[in-house]
Amino acid sequence: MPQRNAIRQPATPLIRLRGLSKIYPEGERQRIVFQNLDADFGRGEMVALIGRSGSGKSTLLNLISGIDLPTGGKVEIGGAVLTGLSERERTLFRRRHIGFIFQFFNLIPTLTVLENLLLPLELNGKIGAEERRRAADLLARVGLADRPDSYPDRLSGGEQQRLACARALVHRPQLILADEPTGNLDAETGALVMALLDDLVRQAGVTLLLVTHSRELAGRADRVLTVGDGRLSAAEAW
Amino acid sequence: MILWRASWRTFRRRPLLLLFSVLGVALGVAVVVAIDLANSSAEQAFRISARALSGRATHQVVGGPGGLDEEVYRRLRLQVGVRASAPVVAGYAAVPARPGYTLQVMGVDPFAETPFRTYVPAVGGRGELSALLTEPGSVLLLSATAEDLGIVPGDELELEIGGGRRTVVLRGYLRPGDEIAARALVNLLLTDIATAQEYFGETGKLTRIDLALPEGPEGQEMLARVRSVLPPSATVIAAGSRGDFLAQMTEAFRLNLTALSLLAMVVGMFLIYNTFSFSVLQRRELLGALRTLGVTRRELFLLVLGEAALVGLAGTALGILIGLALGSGLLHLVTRTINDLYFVVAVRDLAISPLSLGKGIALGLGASLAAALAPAWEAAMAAPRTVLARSTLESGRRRLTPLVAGVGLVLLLAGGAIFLLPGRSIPLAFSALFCLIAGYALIVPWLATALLRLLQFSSGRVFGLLGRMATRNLSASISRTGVATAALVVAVSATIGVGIMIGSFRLTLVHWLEDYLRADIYVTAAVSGSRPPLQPVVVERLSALPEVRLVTRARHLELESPTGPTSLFVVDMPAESFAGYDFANGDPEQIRQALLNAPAVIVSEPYAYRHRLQRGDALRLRTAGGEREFAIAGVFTDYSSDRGRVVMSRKIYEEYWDDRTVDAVGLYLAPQADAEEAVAAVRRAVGGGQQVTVYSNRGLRETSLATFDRTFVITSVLRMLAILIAFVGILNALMAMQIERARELAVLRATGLTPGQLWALVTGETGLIGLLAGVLAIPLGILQALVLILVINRRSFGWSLQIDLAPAVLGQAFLLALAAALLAGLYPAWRMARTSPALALREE
Repeated sequence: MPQRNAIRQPATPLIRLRGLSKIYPEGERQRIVFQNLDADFGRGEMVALIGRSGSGKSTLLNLISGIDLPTGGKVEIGGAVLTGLSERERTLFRRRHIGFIFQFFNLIPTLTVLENLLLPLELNGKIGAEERRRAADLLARVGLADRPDSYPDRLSGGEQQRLACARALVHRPQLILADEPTGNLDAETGALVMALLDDLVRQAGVTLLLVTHSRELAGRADRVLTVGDGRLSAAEAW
Repeated sequence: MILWRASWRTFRRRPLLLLFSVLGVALGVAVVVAIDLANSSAEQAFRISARALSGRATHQVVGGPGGLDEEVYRRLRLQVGVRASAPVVAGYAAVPARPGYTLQVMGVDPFAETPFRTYVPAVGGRGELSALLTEPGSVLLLSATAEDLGIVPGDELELEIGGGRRTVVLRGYLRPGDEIAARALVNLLLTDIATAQEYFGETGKLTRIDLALPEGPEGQEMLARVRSVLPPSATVIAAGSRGDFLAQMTEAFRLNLTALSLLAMVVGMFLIYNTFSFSVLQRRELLGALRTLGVTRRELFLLVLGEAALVGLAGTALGILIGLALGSGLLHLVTRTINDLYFVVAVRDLAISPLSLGKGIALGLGASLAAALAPAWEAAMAAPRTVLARSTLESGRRRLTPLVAGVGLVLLLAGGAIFLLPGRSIPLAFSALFCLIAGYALIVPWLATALLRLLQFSSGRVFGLLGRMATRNLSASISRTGVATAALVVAVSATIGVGIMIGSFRLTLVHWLEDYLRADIYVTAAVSGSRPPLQPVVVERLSALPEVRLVTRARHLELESPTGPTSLFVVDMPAESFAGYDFANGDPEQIRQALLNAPAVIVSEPYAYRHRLQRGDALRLRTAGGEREFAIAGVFTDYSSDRGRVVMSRKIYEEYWDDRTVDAVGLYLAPQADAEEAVAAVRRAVGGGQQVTVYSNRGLRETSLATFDRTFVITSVLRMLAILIAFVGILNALMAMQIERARELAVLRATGLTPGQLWALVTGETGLIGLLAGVLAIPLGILQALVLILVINRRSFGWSLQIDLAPAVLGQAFLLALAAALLAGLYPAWRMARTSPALALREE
């Protein structure tokens, strides 16, 4: 029986991965991304995922968020078994409980700054006074309070990513998944954005899984895990 | 709401694309609405005209070819006691001062009119009645008609009526009770019955007797008594049947127009599909991000459909406005064709029917939503990923192309299978034709890809690297170019199909006229809508001309039958003239002998088709002595009427009907006689006694062909509109490609391509689209032509036509495709050539 990958378990896990496998057919062969992976991620924990290109970091995020289904195993978030839900149920779960930060920002170009921020709130129901207040606060926190009516193409890269961070948090998710959030920014801007994100996430008590190539970013995390060879292992020298 | 706002602004940022999409829907809806309004206006016109003319009559007594004797009216009133009965003499008159202007003449007895028509002056009313009764040549018109003719009460008006010229005097106006009746009476000229009898040369005769019988058993009993006093040649018909019959006569013609207009709508749908397909493709990353953020598939699907609904709504609104304007123009063409081919109808204004507008709205919205279904589905299926490479998408679509082609093949086969089913349904035939077109359109992207692969080698050799790039670029962007090409293929193939059909029809008609028209000169007193008799003295004089060696005397009449009026053509049948009849089977000489020596007739192909008759069957006709059976000796080819007609020899006709009327003669000249001199001699022989028209053989052929060509003007208009929509579609697709390729083109410019070379590259691509469309349109066009000729024409009109695959039609269509694509590419090519490398390469 293949040995399960076991890594240090947090005390109060938000995310539980049990026997997780992801295998892609490639012609006549099979490419194993993960096999029988077990892992837990705690509430309010910041975990950095590092690894070579093509090691499966983004795939892991897709599996955890319910975007993709594993070949085998179980994904559980906050007691909900994602792998047992339909596509629609997983989408609704994602809309309510998960926030995303992308490398290339992925802001909606035809929505203003404020509208981009309000979008997750609207997806989750009507926007009331409380929601608007929360959005305004976040906008101020990320330094864009004076740009609510600007369109994303008028913002710098750093400003766009700060907005993206705010968008990921506005609907009070349990989990944020960030795929190379500073990959498209210069070092200085990236550091500023990461500091802001760190601050926001800690204050909100949200779990953050962060895929990165940056040692500096990884250094901020509570744990650093290496993705590779179908496994998840504690990174050396962190 | 925020999601919708994002969506709306996406379109607002590309106003030209939005405009073209709206325009595509608008043009499609405009054509459909215009045709529907024109058709329904014409149909409404002749229905309400028939109703207004018959007024409150429930039944009508009609006679045979010689009309009804006045004695019948006396019998009905005095013997049977039908108080609500009114005699009518009806016909047509032309206005020489206004060529083409025809008035419907109705002669009535004002004292009998009260139960029937309220627009006729009543006894004790205004002074018009006494003038009508006492002043010769007194007439009444609608005030609008009088104004149109430029006359007021007291003015004279010259008419061509009953084969002669008459001057009448306007005494007053008809007073219809409402707007609808006023529209129906727009070309009515009312006069006293005696005046009408004199002008039509029918003294002592009536065209019909209107009856207003009570409902129920009392009415039935009275009807039976009416029938009992009628002569054998007369019959009673329901008063409302005329309108139905007129509608039925033109049904096939109107259905064909509707089908053609729907084709324009189909081309418009391609445009919508292309727009939304591009829009989804361009937003693929955004859609993926939205899915990741938690937007469900259903929400994305409804978002794209909602966009389509808005475009559809805007396009439909605009289309209806354009359709109303276009409808007025088309109405003129439709009315002219009905007048040329079927019967006289005057339609001055477009009747704006809520049903036509409703159809336009349903079609515009429905077509937009239908066309956007696939792109909406594609949007919904967008994978929630952070990035989806365009090459992945394109290769994904390329993988789909054979599958889509497979579906297209199934549709093609299904359409073909429907044609093989026995039946006469025209709507089913058109549905099958649309299956063929849709199926072929789905195969076009696959065929285009294959052709491009073949062209790559030659284009590289001839045009170098740019040539190779052009073919590869098109191949690589099949998601957009495939649909635009398919739209142009459909439009151009329709041009080919209809062009070949018209050309084949024309060629058939030319050959038929050459065979059928045997006489050297034809003389008739016909004026629009009526065929007054030729005066006997005129016939005698013409027969006595030294240039003339043989005369055939003809009579055209309508006999009432249970299925409506039957067109009967009575003519002398010497062997020489009979040689013009072409029979499907049977020996012509034996048939001729049967026509001369037995109660027999021949029927035309359309007549046989409509009434499901064949050689050997019997036909019942109402003669002077009652209903008689006539054997059908043969079925002949005839293109003079799509309603069909029955032909009988004069010899047999005069045995069964007491009618010696001649309304046309054919003159066969002696071998040495000069045709032009003979025509002059004929005119001299007629003198000023009767208005006649003299046609040389060639003149009659030319007149017939001119009528034919006029009939298809409207078809040409519709074809051009379909091409216009496809043109907009190509322009739309190229504009979309320009946006998509801005960065790629900037890189080319940065690499060193001059604006001229870039222009040449883009123009080369559009030229290739035109080339592909032109080539691919040919097989579909030929297929459409075959369907139109062998199935639809046959089911609509009963004709069998020769097939003429004129190379000129194919060549013209190919050039049209090429020209449309190149023209559509001019502006986008110019814009793309002006791409600044620096601007486009700037990071967003």
